[in-house]
Amino acid sequence: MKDRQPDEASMVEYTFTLYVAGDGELAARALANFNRIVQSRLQERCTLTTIDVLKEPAVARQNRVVATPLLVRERPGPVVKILGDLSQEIKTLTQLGLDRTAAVVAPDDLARPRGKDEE
Amino acid sequence: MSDVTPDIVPTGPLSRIATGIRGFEHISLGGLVEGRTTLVVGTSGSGKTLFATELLYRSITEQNRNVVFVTFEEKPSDIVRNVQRLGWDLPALLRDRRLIILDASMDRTFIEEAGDYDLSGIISQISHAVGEIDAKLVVLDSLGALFYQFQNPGILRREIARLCDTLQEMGVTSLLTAERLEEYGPISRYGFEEFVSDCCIVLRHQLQDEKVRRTIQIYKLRGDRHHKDEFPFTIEREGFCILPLAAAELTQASSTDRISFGSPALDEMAGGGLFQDSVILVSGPTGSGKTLLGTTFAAEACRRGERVLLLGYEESRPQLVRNALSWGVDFDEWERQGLLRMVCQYPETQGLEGHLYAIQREIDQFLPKRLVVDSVSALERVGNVRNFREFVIGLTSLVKRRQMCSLFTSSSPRLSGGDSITDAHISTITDAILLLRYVERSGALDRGVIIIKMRGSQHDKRFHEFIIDGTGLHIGEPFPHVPSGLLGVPTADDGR
Repeated sequence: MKDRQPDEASMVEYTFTLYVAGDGELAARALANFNRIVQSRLQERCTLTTIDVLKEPAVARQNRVVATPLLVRERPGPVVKILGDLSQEIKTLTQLGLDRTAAVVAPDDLARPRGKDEE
Repeated sequence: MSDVTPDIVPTGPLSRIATGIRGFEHISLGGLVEGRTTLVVGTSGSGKTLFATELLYRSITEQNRNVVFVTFEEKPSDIVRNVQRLGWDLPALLRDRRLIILDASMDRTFIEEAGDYDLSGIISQISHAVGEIDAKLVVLDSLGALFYQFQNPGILRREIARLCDTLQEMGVTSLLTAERLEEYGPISRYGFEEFVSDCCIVLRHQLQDEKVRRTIQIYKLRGDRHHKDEFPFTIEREGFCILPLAAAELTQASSTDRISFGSPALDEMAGGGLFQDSVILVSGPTGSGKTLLGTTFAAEACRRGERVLLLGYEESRPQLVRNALSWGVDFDEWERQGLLRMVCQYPETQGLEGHLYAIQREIDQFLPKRLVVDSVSALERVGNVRNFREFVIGLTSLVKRRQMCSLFTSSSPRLSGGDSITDAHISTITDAILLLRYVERSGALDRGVIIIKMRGSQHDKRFHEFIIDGTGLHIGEPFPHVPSGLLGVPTADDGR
């Protein structure tokens, strides 16, 4: 494994929408995993909008949200959708096109539980 | 009920809601169970989506019940387009806010699964949509498609069960469709019936004798009565048409009004004429006078200014007209006056379900007081014995419901008479049976007629001579002694 330097591509602004249903365990896990896996890497280049389909069912209908939690990478294009609480870290990163190795480990993430990834 | 647990409160009897699908109320003894979930399963092409769509259309337009339709398989635009040919204007219903279609079909974007999830998205959409238009019915088509969209069957099972619970809590009636792989295998592909288990309907389509036979069966309807058999159905210009064959009710109201056969002597033999709502079977070998009896019966209606429908399966129109003319009956003239309608068809043009549907349509359009089918036995060769029996029962039940006096003819296979398949299947259902037979007398064959059954009335039980000439039929004196009228060639003993 080699360490890669941030290149131009990594300067891109990311916009995400996370559809959740209420504030139950799934929603909390998805949000925590997003922060740990995605937010930590992208830091200020990352904007996240959370939509609660229970409170905004019309938005869910318009965007055809069938299952939740659903993370949508709106920008940069093309749109990428990831279903689930993002507990499978490597899948999530691969799908989002983020560098697995360039993790910025925040101090509070040091005590994170072992990932459930199958890889 | 055995499952009495503390949280179960006793409820009243199940109430049913009409679907408007032709024949469904009859076979289900009242329609869908209100507030419950009904599962419709069938192989690909068995008509599940049409059933679901027809249910939603008729619920809105005929039952005044708003509907939320969730499509997991087809795009909403395809569904709307597919039923346009049936004249069902879904866009208008959408505009009027009688219908909401929720699109849960496959997302064009690839979706990777990375962790645990549930179906809260669609469940919340459904709850919201139901509230939005105060829907009373939710239709979901088809659940199996979820298993293509999502990879974790364990989650799906749990979530579909939760979805059904939610629907029940909302108090709406719901209909779900699901695939099955074999016509007589497991009920559904993913075992939906295990958790969506109140009511289950099975649609089948099979190739039988080179003809497609579609059937519908109410597999279970928990807690209430229903017919359990498979009923044939056809898909027609107006949608589903379930033919309630085996379930024909024999409790039709009986009429005491007598009508004429067209021959005073025959009326007398029948104890004063035929009952308006009766079905008469005329059985006899070829050339014994069955068509003449049918013609006489039809002409009598016309003479009285009543409409009569004549269905010919053996002879063509010109032949029927020519035959009638030879007995002094002008069918062309009656038809011009709008009192007679003749429909001649080869039995092989369609299956028995198709024939029955065609007959029903003719009856609905022409509204005749009498019906002649010449001959019912010609239709025997279209399907197998069971289908034929269902057809005969369905036809009988149809004419009884419409209170049409109907005369069916049946050809005996042998010149000497004997039973045909038709006779065997129809004789218990008919109200009157006339046998036409050749009778050997003094070395010559004469024709004879006997009434062997006349429900609800006394009748002449003797074998009468039956004479045909240029003015039609005439009933002669009874033969004094015919030893074997029913079996074999009867021989009349003149006492000589």
